[in-house]
Amino acid sequence: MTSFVVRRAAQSVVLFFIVISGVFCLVHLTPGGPEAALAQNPRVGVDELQQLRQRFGLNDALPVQYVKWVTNAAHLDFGQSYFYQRPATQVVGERLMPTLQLGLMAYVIALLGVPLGAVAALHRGRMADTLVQLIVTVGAAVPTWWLGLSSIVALNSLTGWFPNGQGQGNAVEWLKYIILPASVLGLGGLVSFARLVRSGVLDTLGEDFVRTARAKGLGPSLVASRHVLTNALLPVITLLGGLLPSVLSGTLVTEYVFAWPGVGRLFYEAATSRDYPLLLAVLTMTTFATILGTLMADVGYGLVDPRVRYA
Amino acid sequence: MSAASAAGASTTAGGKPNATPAAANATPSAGGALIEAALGNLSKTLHPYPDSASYTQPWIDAAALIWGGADGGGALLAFDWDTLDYRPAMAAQMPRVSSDGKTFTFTLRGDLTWSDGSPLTADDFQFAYEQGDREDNRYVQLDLLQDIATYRTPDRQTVEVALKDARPREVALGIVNIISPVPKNVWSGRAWNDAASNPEILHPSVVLGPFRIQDFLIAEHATFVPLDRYYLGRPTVPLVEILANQQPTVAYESLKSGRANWVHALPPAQYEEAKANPELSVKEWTAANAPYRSLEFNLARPFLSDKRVRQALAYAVNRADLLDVADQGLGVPQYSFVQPTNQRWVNNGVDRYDFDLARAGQLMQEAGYRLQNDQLLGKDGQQVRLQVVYPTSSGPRTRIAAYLQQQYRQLGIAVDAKGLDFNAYTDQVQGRHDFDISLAAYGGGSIDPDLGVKAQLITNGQQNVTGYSNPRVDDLFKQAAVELDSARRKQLYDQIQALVNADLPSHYLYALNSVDAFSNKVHGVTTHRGNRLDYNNALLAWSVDQ
Amino acid sequence: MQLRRSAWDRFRRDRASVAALGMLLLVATLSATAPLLAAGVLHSDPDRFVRTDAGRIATLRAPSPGNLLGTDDLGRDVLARLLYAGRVSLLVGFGVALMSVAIGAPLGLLAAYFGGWFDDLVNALVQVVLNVPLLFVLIVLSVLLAPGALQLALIFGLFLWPSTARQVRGAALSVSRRDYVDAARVLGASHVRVLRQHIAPNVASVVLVMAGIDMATAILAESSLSFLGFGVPVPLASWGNMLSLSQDQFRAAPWLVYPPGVMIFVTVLCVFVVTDGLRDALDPRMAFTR
Repeated sequence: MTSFVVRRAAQSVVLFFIVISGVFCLVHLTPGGPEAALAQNPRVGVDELQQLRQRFGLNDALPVQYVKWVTNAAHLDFGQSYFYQRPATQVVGERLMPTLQLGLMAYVIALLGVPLGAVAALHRGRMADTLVQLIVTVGAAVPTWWLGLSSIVALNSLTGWFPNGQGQGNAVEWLKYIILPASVLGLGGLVSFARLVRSGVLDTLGEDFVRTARAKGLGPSLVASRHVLTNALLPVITLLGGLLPSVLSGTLVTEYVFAWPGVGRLFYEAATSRDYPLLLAVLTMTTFATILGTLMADVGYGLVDPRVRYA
Repeated sequence: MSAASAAGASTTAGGKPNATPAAANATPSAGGALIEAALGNLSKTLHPYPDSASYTQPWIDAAALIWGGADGGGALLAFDWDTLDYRPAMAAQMPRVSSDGKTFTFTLRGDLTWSDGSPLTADDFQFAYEQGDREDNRYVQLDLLQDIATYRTPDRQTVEVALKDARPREVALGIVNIISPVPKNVWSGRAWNDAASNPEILHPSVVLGPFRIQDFLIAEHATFVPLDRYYLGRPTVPLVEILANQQPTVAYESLKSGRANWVHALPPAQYEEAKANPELSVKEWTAANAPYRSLEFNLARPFLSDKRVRQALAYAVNRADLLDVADQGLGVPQYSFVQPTNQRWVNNGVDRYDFDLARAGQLMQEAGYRLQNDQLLGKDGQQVRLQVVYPTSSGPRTRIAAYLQQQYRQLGIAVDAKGLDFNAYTDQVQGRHDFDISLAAYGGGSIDPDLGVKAQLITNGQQNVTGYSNPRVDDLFKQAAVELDSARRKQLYDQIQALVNADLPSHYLYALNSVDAFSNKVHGVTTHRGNRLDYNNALLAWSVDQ
Repeated sequence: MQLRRSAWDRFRRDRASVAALGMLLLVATLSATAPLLAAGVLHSDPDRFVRTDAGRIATLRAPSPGNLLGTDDLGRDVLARLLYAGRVSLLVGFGVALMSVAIGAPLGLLAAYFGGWFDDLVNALVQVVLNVPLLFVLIVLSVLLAPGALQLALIFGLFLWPSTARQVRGAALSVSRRDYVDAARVLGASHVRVLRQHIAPNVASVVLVMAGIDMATAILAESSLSFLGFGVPVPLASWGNMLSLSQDQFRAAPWLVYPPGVMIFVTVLCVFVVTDGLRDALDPRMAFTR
């Protein structure tokens, strides 16, 4: 496995550069530049719009802009945000912690799907299974933004209170404010975990070695804990790595609805205003995280299931 | 930095004496905080002299609180949105005007101070002018500043501004009033535009008032506390909080639960419910500078170059239906490029193109298009197709596009509704002129036609997306820019409106109402003719129950 | 032959699955025949404005005999729009699930089985797709093309296959290197035979589960996109955009909010039940663990 990891790590570095370059081109070639915001002002002349583009280096040929950007990015200098007029890394840095907290809490909630899926599988065809299926369907059939908005409205009608933005002060306040957006964000993951684990556990229950164990007289719970769950972990690991990009993109909608001061919302703002330095800083970060997440998932398989051998 | 607004008719230089400060110095601030659930961002900069990229509505809102703000007390004069005329603010009275009408001399009030207690003098105005006038500082109002010939401060209480040319009174006052003072002692020697080396840009330590900043968390919220010694009086509210980036539904819920007590621009969906709610009060009015919607035709397109065709397209649209469908009836029909509520300048005698489907069909026939099997056929025998371009970020314009599809189907025209992200829309319409009809929205800002809408109508104007070019109109605009007689100036603008409507490069639809919702705990709110309630130093007059 | 017939028997005996399948077929039929139903039965049109007697447009009217689900903010019949919306949402949902299974499953399977440079290649493709910001692709496409439901389904499909590929690869990894597989190869079985007989059946369950998830994701993603200002173009309706365009109206006009929400819920529920039922039916080991 070591050779696999080393090879993959090396490839990941190359992939990272290729992907980031592609994203750079896509972003810059998308119609509509940052000067659009100024075009709303009747006294801003056409030359001023051009001057703005000039100042931002947007009139240079794309390869020139790319080289400039890459050489700076290599030193972790992502330039000045056009609209914040501060270093892009500084702006992203301010928003990182709230998103990480939200993401982490969402993961925790999503992981509740693992025991749920296992329970459903072990009690297949019976009440518990149906109940879990129902919960899971509700979670999957409702769009994130809708869940967010309606939970806010419902909570407000019932209790006159709803979480808005981050909680200040102590841990209890913090929890109060984060629990709703994290649940909304984590629900998608919870659904996926529950369904995949249920399926995985059912697969493993049918395996010969499990049937042998049961035939030998091992009680159901012992069988479950020792053999089944270990093997059902594979989809969980894949999902853990694969969930990262969807949590990162899911935060966009969740942060939008809950006015959460995080990176997701920043991305949307930067995308719609074409604040390229900020945008590329965020995208570089998420690309790095995604590639890393995938690599870690691959390593995870190797560790959890000894039968996995990489070529 | 007041939005250079203009007023109209009166020709005398004298005006109203200083307005009585709202809450006199005696009463300390008591009661509850004013909390706004804002649908947009907080301003990304608090620079008193923003560049075009930073001059946004959130900036104007923040400036109203700490820099005396939009048409409030932040400059020599304030534009009064009740009378639509200027009144003295930091100047003790209206300026003395020289006989050639070009030089305005102001005497400052004696009680002006900065938030740190230091006196505010003409030096601060001079410093601000010199900085704002520099090209490399890229101040958003630089183009108007360039109409100033000299800006002098002979002593610490006197400001003397000379224009290059004699301008109509309302425009001249607007120009001389652009400069707001900046605390020279704090800002001199610091980089004007570099937020990294000049912390004042993001966290101004010394401000004018009526409030100063307590907290400013750009992605979350900002809080402001009142100054004791603001020259127009101490605000009654002990705290102003702005919650940023609220979803409309969430903002409305905040209002109901008491988390917030003010929502500006209440979404129409919640309008009925808010009006029926006994704990809320809804203020609704149509401003003189109200935002408005129009259909812009691309005159370069062969089909649209025929005036009869444009007329037909205008007659086919029912303004009342559109208003219902797009903005839930919250507006008033508009017929020319001047809002109907802008009584100073509107010409009510222009061609209105009121809904008349029969006439529309007739005009199409006259223009040489025939209807066959419910399809309008062009000279090439193919069905006429129109591309209607609009920004998807605007719900109302999305609905207008759907309406046009249905409505123009009755003329036999197929409409391709092309919804684009806002920047892509701007690029396509203003940058590349690649559209047939653009669904436009303009408005806000000054009521003077010379300072806003002109850019849409003169040949090669900055916002002229239709490609309209009428030399007579260009000439009339030039004349009106320097016409000193108000009555004559009004006549000139009337003529321009008549000509533009006859040419029909755009079909004007309606002006939008402003709708603000308040909790009943907020008192002292009165509406006026501006599109933002916090003009006219309103924040000094409002109070909130505990 | 024997195995297939008993799989269908097993499926048939699972009443919940059969009911769900029936429901799905009903929804699909209603959506497919939307034009006939709207014109013939309801005498209505998803785009036409309903007018009041006074000639104004009847916006936001509550359900009435003439408009069983009321009218929307443009005065259009909600029921007619709901039927037409089904076509768009189902097209997007099934299209994505199909693409995801047709591209993702084989790629994941082969990546795990062959390993080496092929696995590296698939990984590279996965990384590229996962990291391209969908928002920008959509903006570019909206400028270049006339957008439509089919294009959207295609784009989503192209963006969603990586998650299926990764799951299938994970499931296949543990099976691909087992002794009996090696034994089969030694005995001369071709790659195709090994894949078909030993590996594919073991990953079928994952594929089915992922297909269900992808379908739900697609329908919901379209809704989130139209919430943010993208999604299917005017004047097309999809359940997702009917939901997002009525976001402010829960109290004012609940007839705009619940019907599309219910349709999405029912469809997703049925898809999950059917895929689980299929999964159970196709797995020969299930016969013994009941």
